[in-house]
Amino acid sequence: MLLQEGSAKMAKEEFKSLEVYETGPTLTFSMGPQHPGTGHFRMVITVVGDMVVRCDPDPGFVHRGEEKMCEYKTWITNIPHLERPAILDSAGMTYPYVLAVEKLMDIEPPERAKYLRVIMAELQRICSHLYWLGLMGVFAGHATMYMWCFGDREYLVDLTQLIGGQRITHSYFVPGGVRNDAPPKVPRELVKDFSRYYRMILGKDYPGGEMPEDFRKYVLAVCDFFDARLDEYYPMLLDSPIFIYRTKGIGILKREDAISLGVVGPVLRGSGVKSDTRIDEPYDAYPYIKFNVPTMDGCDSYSRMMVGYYEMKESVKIIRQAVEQMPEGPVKLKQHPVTIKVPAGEVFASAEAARGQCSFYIRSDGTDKPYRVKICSPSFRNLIAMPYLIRDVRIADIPIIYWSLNYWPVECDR
Amino acid sequence: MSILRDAKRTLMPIYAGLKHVFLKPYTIKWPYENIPNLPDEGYRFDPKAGIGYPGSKGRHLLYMEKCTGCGSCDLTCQNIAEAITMTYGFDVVTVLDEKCYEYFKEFRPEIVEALDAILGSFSAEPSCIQYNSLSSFFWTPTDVKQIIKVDGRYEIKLNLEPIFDVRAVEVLYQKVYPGVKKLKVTGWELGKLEAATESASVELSKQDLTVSVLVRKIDMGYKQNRRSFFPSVDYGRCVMCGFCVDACPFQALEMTNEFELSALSRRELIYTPSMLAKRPEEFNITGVPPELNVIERARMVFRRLVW
Amino acid sequence: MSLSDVGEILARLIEDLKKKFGDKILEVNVEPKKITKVLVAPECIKEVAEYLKSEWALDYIKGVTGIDLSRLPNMAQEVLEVIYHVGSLSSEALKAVTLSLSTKISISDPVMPSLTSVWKGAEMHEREVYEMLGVNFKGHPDLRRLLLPEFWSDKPPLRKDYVAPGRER
Repeated sequence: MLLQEGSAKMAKEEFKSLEVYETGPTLTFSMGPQHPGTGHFRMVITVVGDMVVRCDPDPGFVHRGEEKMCEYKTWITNIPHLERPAILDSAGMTYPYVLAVEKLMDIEPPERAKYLRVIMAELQRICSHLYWLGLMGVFAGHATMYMWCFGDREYLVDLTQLIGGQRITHSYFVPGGVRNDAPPKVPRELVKDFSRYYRMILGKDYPGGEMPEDFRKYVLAVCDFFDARLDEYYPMLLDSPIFIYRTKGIGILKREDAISLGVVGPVLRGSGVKSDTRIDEPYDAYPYIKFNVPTMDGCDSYSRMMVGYYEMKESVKIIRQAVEQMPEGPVKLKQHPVTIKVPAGEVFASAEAARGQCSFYIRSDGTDKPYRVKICSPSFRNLIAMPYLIRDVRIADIPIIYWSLNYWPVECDR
Repeated sequence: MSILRDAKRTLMPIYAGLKHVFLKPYTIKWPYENIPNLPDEGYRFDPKAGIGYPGSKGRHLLYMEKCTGCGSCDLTCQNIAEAITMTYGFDVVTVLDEKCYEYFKEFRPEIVEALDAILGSFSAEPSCIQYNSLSSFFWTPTDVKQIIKVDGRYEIKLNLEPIFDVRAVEVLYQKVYPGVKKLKVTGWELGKLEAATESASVELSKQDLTVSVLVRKIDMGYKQNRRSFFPSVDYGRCVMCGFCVDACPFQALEMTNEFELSALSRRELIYTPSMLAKRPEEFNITGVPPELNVIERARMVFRRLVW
Repeated sequence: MSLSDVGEILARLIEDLKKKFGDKILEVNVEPKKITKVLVAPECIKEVAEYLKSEWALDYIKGVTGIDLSRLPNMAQEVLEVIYHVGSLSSEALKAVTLSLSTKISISDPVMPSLTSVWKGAEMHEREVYEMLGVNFKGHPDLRRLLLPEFWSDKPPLRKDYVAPGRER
């Protein structure tokens, strides 16, 4: 089908016939940092006609020196500022830090805390992916998807708020567990609102009559709703010919390139590499939960989006299992709430954040503050792919490639 | 077939859009409608069990009868946002002697000028005497009632609610000094200046008149906190992480589900202990939202009727 | 994969490295679950890296850390340590392995060979270490500032003698 053939391939042939690559007049300009698509990030782009010859990413507009800041703050008070680089995915950002400090201290959180952490991390992964998918809709000229994603995201963010107290930056994880247990009940008004929404969107009542107020059952209800919604997303955006035409064959990152460049997350899995920290180096409650790691062999923007879509499905599965398996018991070790002692040593710990593997290298000198904290954030590791992907494409394809990398400037700059 | 399928997929968003014309919108018309998804409770922490209770992390709630002024919250916040400052409560008093009081009764221009300047620099502050001109000050009975005779001197208390700050000198410099500067131009001389943490005073004299402004600490009468030392929170800096609540060993600090904290200036975002001690239902900082026009009101009625 | 397997593989890897390079491996720091670090001299780091990539299939770069060790209590050294955290994706058995290959260079003359020819993905990481700690990577294709502004003229900010403004006390 003509529509599904990539535009990049066609453009390349057209380009060759022009034969201006070496000799033609070039134009260099900046895309960003005040561009609605790129966020606080600039690309210096050189073009011949409207074909991009060279792309030089220039991050750093939102660099806040998180690593230096860590050296001035104590072990626990580092948490609120460490989750700021990726506010949509604050759990994924603090998860490896908390794991690393726990490894240094040689402690293990209680069982219930492990499950609560998994639920929180997966909720935020879905929220982050919905943001990704919704904005991808905008980039591809499909505003309906944007509205749908942000409307449904609200009920998942509400769950985050119920557990952690805040919609996005909750500072919920601490070394030794989580800060509070999940609430036993959901506010009645929210349940009423959600059941009305459920009926309106899915066109049927919640199976089994009234929407439950019990927290566990409510989470399962939201999972059911969201699963049904995801099935509607597929024909709406991901099977839409317009979207396929815009994304298929655009921004091809081959499997071996993906490995040698060291990219992570959906970008890596979209290139057909089956790698996920949750499976490779399982932490917390992930070993007890069954789920798949979706991969796609297309290596293009479309595959990366599809991986994101399937990951949401897997996340729903994980949340369901975690809620069902979650044992009763304490959620935090007995310790001082804000002052903890961490022995000297060094550690390298990773966790799977929404945008990919996030790793922390921490060196402690035995004082109340870390000696050095290095954040290997997923966006920073995906940044290197940008000059390789944004080359020999049209200017109009830059936003698609850029956003299919799920790049978050703040997370990259830290 | 594929063309048919493609056409269907292309038209789907249009169909969905049309469908949603007749469905309830995602958005909530806040502040005209209530927000349904707020947790009922605020975040609390039990220091004995060492664990928090789930709840919304909104504005703080301070229990003055539990707070001992230990400053654990301040110490924790120093490492996070530097939003919490431990403060004393202060009164600002203008002291007149017998002769000045007589002149004051008689509207002598010199003394009127002095009080005018001091009050003028003060009236810009929230929670102080609302002052427009001196005549209104004289003839408002509530204000005149504030003149008390102590040890043969007359004291006029300028603030209605205690002013919270770190040091008395700061209050003097920030709130009284602009007025004093004005008086210097008109021939008043700066006399004895006393500056300390717990009290501060400045003496002003012109010819035979002497007016002094005194800033003194209030004892708020809490048994567990004899120094009356309480935290105040700057919401221009606070990140609402709630670690100050965790750090409090006496359960004196809690969070509420109030999130409507917007203000017109940075200074209004600094919440004093007496403001923090009020429950959200007693406390209404946000003004009345602007009125809706006819079309918007009709829409609201439509929303309520249909959904 | 269970942890004991990972430990076994790493033990074998280090044994192999010791046999192959002998004295060139200066120090080995193995802490199960935490970190496995191999310290080599800066002159032979490229050699070791190439060996690791070709023989052990460690082809996936996870990050490059630079540390200023001059304020470490009890064991302060006037050196910068540069650590390459590498893993493997082409070998199933090595997926859970992270090896930290490190080297120490003097703080007054911080020069070391770039490993971008071994791990292509190290390019941005090395640029970050260059601007944050002032390490000069010889043979790097494009050693420019990355996150800091171009007009930055102060000390490299992650060195310990640089004090963040407002944090002097």
